[in-house]
Amino acid sequence: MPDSAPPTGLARAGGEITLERLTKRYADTAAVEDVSLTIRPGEFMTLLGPSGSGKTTTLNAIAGFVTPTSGRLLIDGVPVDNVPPHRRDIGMVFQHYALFPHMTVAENIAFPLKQRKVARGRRAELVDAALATVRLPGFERRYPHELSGGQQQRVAVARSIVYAPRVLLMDEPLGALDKKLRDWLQLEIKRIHDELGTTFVYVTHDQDEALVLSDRVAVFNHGKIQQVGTPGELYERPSTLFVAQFLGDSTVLRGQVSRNGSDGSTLGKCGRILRAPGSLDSAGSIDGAIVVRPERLAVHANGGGPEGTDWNTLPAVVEREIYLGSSRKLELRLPDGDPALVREQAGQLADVRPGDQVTLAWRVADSVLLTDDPDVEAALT
Amino acid sequence: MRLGRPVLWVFCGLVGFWLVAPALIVLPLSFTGQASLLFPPRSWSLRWYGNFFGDPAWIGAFWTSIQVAVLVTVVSTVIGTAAAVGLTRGRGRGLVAANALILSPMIVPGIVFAIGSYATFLALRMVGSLGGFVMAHTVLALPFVVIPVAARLRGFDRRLELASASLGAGRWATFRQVTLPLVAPGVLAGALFAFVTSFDEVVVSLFIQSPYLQTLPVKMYSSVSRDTDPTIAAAASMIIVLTTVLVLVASYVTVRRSRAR
Repeated sequence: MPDSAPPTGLARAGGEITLERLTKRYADTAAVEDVSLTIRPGEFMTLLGPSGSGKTTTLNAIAGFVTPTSGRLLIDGVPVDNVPPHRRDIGMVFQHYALFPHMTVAENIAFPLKQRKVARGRRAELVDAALATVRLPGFERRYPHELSGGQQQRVAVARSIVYAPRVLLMDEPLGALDKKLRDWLQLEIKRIHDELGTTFVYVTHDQDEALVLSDRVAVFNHGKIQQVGTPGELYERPSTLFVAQFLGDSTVLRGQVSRNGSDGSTLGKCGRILRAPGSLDSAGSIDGAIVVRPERLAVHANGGGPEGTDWNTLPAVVEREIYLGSSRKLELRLPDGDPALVREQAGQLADVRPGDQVTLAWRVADSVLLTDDPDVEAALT
Repeated sequence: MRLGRPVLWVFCGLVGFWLVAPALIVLPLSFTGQASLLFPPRSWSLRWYGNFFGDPAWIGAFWTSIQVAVLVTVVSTVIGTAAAVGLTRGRGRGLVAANALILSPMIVPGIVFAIGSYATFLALRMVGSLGGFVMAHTVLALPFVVIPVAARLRGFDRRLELASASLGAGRWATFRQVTLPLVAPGVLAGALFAFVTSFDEVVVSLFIQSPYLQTLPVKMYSSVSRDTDPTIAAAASMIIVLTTVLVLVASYVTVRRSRAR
């Protein structure tokens, strides 16, 4: 127990977690395959992906609940593969709270301190500090079943931070709560992370949660990491079609991609040539896609629209209009039947309505060129 | 349905009466003033209780039964709880066989088990020994511990054990502080069944007794076949009162514990 870091005594320098080619196989299927990842000290890292993508198995491997088939796991540079869960100095918060029903709130929170043989007086101080941190003072003598779901989860968080572990793992901690409570607790978790300085590893399938909370996000699919990056990088520069579609909305324009000069490519779509920066890693023309985020697209009423080599344009028909107050979404249909999605900010709405023939336009620089992945739609549902 | 309910009540009342009737006969009979088991008694006295407590053979048998039952309770509760943990948590082929083996004393006829125990103890020179009684009764009591404890363990949320491990508790600490308190009602029920199983066991005890060491039911059996005096009713009444008190205490404790949650 470090006695640095007043006032709460709960702050602690975060640990560094290194996964080296981690693999976990069950019978003939790989739950996690060849995952390498370094989580920096004090970082808020989210493992994001659909169910069955390997994110929870990875988290359980860090906790020590799952023994990897191969690969290595290091915390602060020390291999922990043979260290049992209770000696890893890790905290964990579970989706269904996992509070001990036969203990009061105070006894639950004091449990890890008791295991560490912390003196009674000090225990009470730390329990108070932890309850204050999760903003539940005065709940010491209640039993878990007397608390709401949100309160129980805050007690679970208090219990996992009270001994100042170097790493805190969270497995969909807000998954069982309703939307309003979730939004509020998200901010609470972020605040607690900022206050403590502990390394957080957070598992979720909720992309909004990942974007709001994380310093960096690792996107999982089929047991593999698709991309690791800051929320901004993942959103603006997705490296696979899966990431582009899993994180946020996007319009996907599929077609044949050819290299065009030294620093650009072209893609044929609806009889037009669309340009994008960069190139795909291959010679000749291959199946690819240009991905554009909805707020990067603009619609122009009949005949309008920008021209020049900086811009891509496509004809489209407005199908539906979704008014959201601060913004408006337009669902469009391209001549070849593919959908497109546009988001306009209030005050900048184009004068179009459903049924209108429009021009869809966006900057070449806003086009993200990616290799096609025919299975991506199946993976997302 | 108008008629159905009263009929059901009457039926249940009859079944209940049928179940307690023997006790309702034996209890008054133990206070009879006559030297026969005639019911209803025509006069009253406490002489049979006096007889019971005044006769070293009766008192000795009573204490033997208590000793055996307490030891059986401790041994079978510990072994049975451990077995239940193994049976519910383990994996592998042997598990089904082990389960059947542990529960087999409930199915194997008592007389068969009795003859087997007698032959074995004869060879081991354990006939009429305290250890022999405890061993034989423990085998009989084991299923009654394993069944309720295993049932509690199956309904137990394993994530609590993962949480406990993540919080720094090793396996033993987790078992003692998390698992055991939460399956305690099952353990308590098992311990109670074990005590009662041993305390009123007669068939096996008849075989493995000796003139120097016999349990209360054995003493009662030999008494009823030899001299038929109402001391046996006094002994039976004390068995009834003891087991009833035990069950009441156990259910009171269980109810209080669950209220505290």
